[in-house]
Amino acid sequence: MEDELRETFFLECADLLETLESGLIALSDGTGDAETLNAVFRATHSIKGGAGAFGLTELVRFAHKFETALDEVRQKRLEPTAEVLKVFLRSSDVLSDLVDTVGRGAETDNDAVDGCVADLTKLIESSSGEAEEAVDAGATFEAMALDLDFGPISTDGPVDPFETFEIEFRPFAALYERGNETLLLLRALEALGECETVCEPVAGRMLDAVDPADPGMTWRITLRTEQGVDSLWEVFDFVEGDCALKIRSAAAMADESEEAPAPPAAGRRIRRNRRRGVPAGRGAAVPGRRGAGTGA
Amino acid sequence: MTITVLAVDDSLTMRRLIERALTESGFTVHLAEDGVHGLEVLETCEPNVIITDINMPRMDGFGFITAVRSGGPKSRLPILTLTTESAPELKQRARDAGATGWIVKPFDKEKLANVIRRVAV
Repeated sequence: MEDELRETFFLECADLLETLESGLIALSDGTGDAETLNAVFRATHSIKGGAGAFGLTELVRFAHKFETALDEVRQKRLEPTAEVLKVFLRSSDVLSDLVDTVGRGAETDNDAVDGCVADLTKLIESSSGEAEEAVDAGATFEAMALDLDFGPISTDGPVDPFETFEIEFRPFAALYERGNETLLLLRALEALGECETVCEPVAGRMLDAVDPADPGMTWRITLRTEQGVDSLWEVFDFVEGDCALKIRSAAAMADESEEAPAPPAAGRRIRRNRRRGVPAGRGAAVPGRRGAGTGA
Repeated sequence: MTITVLAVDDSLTMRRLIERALTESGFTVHLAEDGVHGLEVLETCEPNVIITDINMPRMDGFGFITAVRSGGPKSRLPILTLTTESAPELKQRARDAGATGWIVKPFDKEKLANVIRRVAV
């Protein structure tokens, strides 16, 4: 099956390379337009995407560089002069040779490839804007606020891998407009450990006055888990910005508060799940674990 | 419940890879080759989740997402963008169009299945 798919990829590459070459020729002789350029970009992009799926890193590397340079022209940061198009046509030939050698499992002509990469890099660097080169596939960088309050360090007894977090979550209308669902997020949290969930409706709003597209409710979840705080943030990956969200370590919160604990939220407890194997009780302070606190 | 996925991508290889990965994970898969075709196929099936590429002819991913979100009984389906681009501004553009989330190519079959299960209604 894998061989069949790989064969499909190389057959598709033949069509894509033809589109690429004919498109660049059209652009060179003045008969191409913006859509021709888009087609050329998409052909390179598709070769890169397919190569990535099969782990063909040489092909990915070259196609990525080529695609970036093409995008500079697409975004009007680089003028498609005769010189630029000459580099692109040469790159199209190199890409075609690379597809052929990689497909046959043969050795690539590194000098030709490296020379072309250098020319494409010069074009990218000469463009009027900053080239937005995609981060390597699989590497995503999400800024996160860090709370370096580690809580008190316990020096006696074994380390408890479980930690309790207090989560405050209020979805905005945009969350639902983008096809997300609060219930699915709550289920994802339940999959991480023992959860107790309280729903606070908007004060004074009767149930029949609640707008399902924007209920305005706040959900307070106490979650006891050994998965770590990163797993919690991952649950809310897609809804960042579409909700107000706070995730805090219960242990850190207890240390911050010198007053008597706040009374239970005046809301309705909706769900409680206790997964088998999750010891009851609040999480003990864990050396080296960081609490997390942020608002959205 | 069997989860049904509509996958939209102009690359034949990608469509076959997605179809294989998802059917092996127990999903039912419908395929389309660009945004225009995607809207046509959407009329004929009942997906729980939509996955779409961004760079496509005729109607790109942004246009497709906007069109799906413009109204109708399927306008609130979860839509994931499947793309090699992890640049923040592209993610934001997809979000602005109404995308639910994203998956970066090359995808891991297990992760793809888990993300789909996470958002499927």
